[in-house]
Amino acid sequence: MVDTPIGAAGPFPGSEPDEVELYHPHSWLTRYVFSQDAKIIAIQYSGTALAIGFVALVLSWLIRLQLGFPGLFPSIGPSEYYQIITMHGMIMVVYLLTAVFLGGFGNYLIPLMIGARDMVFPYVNMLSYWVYLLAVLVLVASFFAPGGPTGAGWTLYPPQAILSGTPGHEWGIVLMLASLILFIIGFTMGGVNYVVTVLQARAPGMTLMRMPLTIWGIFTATVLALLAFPALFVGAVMMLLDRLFGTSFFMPMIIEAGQRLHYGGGTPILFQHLFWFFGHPEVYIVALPAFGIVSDLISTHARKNIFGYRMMVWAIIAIGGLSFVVWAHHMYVSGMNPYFGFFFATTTLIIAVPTAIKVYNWVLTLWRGDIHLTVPMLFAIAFIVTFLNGGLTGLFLGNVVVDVPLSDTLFVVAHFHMVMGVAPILVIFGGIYHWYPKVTGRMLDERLGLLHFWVTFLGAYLVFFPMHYLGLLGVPRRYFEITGLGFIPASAASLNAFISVVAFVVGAAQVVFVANLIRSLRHGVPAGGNPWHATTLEWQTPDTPPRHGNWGARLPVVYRWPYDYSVPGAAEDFLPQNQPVHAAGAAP
Amino acid sequence: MSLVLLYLAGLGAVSGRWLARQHLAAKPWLSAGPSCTLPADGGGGSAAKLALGIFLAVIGLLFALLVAAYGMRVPPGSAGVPLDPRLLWLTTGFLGLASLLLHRADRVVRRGAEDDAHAHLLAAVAASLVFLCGQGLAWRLIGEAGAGRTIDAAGSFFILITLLHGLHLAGGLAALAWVTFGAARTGSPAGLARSIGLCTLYWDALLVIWLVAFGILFRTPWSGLIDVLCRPPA
Repeated sequence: MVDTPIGAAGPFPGSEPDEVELYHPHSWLTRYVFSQDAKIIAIQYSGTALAIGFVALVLSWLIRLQLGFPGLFPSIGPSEYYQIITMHGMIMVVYLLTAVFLGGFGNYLIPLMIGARDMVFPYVNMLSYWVYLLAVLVLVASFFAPGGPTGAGWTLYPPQAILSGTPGHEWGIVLMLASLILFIIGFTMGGVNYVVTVLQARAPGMTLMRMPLTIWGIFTATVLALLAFPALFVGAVMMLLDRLFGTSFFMPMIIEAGQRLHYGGGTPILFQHLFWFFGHPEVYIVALPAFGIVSDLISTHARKNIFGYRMMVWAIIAIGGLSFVVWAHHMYVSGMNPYFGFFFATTTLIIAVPTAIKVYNWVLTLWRGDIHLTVPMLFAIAFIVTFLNGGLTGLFLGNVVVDVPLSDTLFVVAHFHMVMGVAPILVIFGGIYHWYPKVTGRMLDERLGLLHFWVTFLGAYLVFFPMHYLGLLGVPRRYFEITGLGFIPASAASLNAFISVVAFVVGAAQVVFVANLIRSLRHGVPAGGNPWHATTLEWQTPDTPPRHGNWGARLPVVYRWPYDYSVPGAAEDFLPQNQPVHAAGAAP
Repeated sequence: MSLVLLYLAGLGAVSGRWLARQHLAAKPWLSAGPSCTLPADGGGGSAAKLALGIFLAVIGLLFALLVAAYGMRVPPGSAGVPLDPRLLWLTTGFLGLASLLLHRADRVVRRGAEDDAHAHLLAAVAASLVFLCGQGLAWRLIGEAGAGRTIDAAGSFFILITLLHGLHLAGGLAALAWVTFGAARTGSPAGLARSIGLCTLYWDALLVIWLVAFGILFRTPWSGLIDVLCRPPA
């Protein structure tokens, strides 16, 4: 290893932009409610996202009640069913996953992991959270609006989304669109902040190629989100105008109940383009932070440097770029020029290459590592397996000839729940178990964590593996009731009932997680500053939990990359990023 | 979506050029020790300017999507927006004038003539307000003609694009008003110069976005180019 002598590099430049001053709170209200501290904002984001996520979890129970035991619960009619699946999908994808990864992990980890005191624009950061909260409240308000929430499906496809036959066409769709517009405005405030903070506020010595992969993942996902959300914004505004002011951006000529509506000339396909131009990058907006977090969890808990760091960085960038040229593989069944179908099938296959590189590198990081099967590590390994499974079925669906017959079946539901639902949520859990000691100063209870992990992991597989089989049988998705279809054997109903029972158990296991979070706040084992013996900067703060400003009087100086684990000859099996070279024991 | 992909390719080229200078081929596991190259390799310039640049890139994409949507939705033979374009040429002139005035203010404030800069800022605010009023008049004329809900949607797009552009301008005007009536009187000369520089960049973006939107909504000398970029192949 090549050592650079200390001091040879000369004086370090300051890492904080001159024109931005750290805000200091003056009251309880500005410290904990209208806080400009990224760590508090992260907790606010995560708390709100998890709360609305639990609403979506309960909605998934209602979906399973209906699918597993049709007719048993008369309060769930067709309209309610569509409203439930719509809200479940939209909440999970946008208001939980995006918000937790970027608003939660992003806010907490970016300043700490790059050695900054806070986000570059703390006030805008605070506004970002409050606009997000407003978006959530507007969304929740639709449950109580006349007609209830929209039942248009989470893709909100026009023309049916705003026609009178669709539940929630009065207020539900309006509130949904307004909420999405607010969410995007709020996210843009936060997103610009994250990007500028990563680019401008890194600690001395923290080159881009010394950033932990968590930061690379969050950074690239934020760039993706900044470029993908405008498409959803445009689609939402145009549909809102169609709904409220009678324009015809997406609405073709329609005869409803024998009467010709005033719409005409619009193109629903245009909305699909806009939606999926956002929708596919959204998969990676969620996946890239998960990739980064998993990389760091695996390296830390296997006591081994990440395999192929440069490849991992390049793969993140490549996936980010490619994610913008695959959107139309969601639209094969809408019909398109066969050459376009070929193009999008090809790009979909190509994007699997950098993704596969990441999977190989995770496995090779584990290879001959000193693997500690801690709860975060278990969740990380579970993610790799689950993402691989979900990714493989994605390769099936990326091909036009396979996608067309499977598109409207439960196979698609199983695929995207594995890759977009279960996999990232496993990472969220892993991340929370990993960083909770830094956030609170206490460890989460390990036995409860193990219980939570095994029930969640095995349960998720018992739910979604059989669902692939149901899909191959041809069991359609989006159907309120699957009866009277001669080609579906009676055993499919039994399997559906089984899936539902397991889903209830998995859902109930999340209560264990919440109880653990609350109980450990007071009764958890004190964690100390660096319980995992990790190398990255967030574990090297002078205080745990870190105080406002993170670093005390002096910012850290970074001397090495974030994966110096088990370095031969070193005194310990980890070398923190801010540990000077001469203090690392024998020459690493 | 060709226009959008072209726009993204442009952003990708800028990002790629920047990334190429970030030593992404470095082997960080071989180079323990401090590095004096930071944070300058991260940009080093003004955080506010970088943030504004990113924000404008996002806004630019939003309008590129709207223009692409226009190309996909409005048929090539459409009669277009039923409005005399001379009104829009006039308002365009005022937006261009506002942009020029801000450039002028930027130059004079760097020479230390803050009073001169203040006068230019006031004139830029006034020109921008005239532009907004002109757009408002155009909305009224279109509304009276009932063209906001036509089948070919050209009028609807006019309302939508100009509404979002107007909101974008209104946000900028709030900042410009703060600079003109607040920072120009109480802030430091360096801070004032920085703020005016940001406003100038913002107004340049407003002007470019408007010119592109104008080019697709009405026949202008550059409309053919925009048509090529945003109309799907026949």
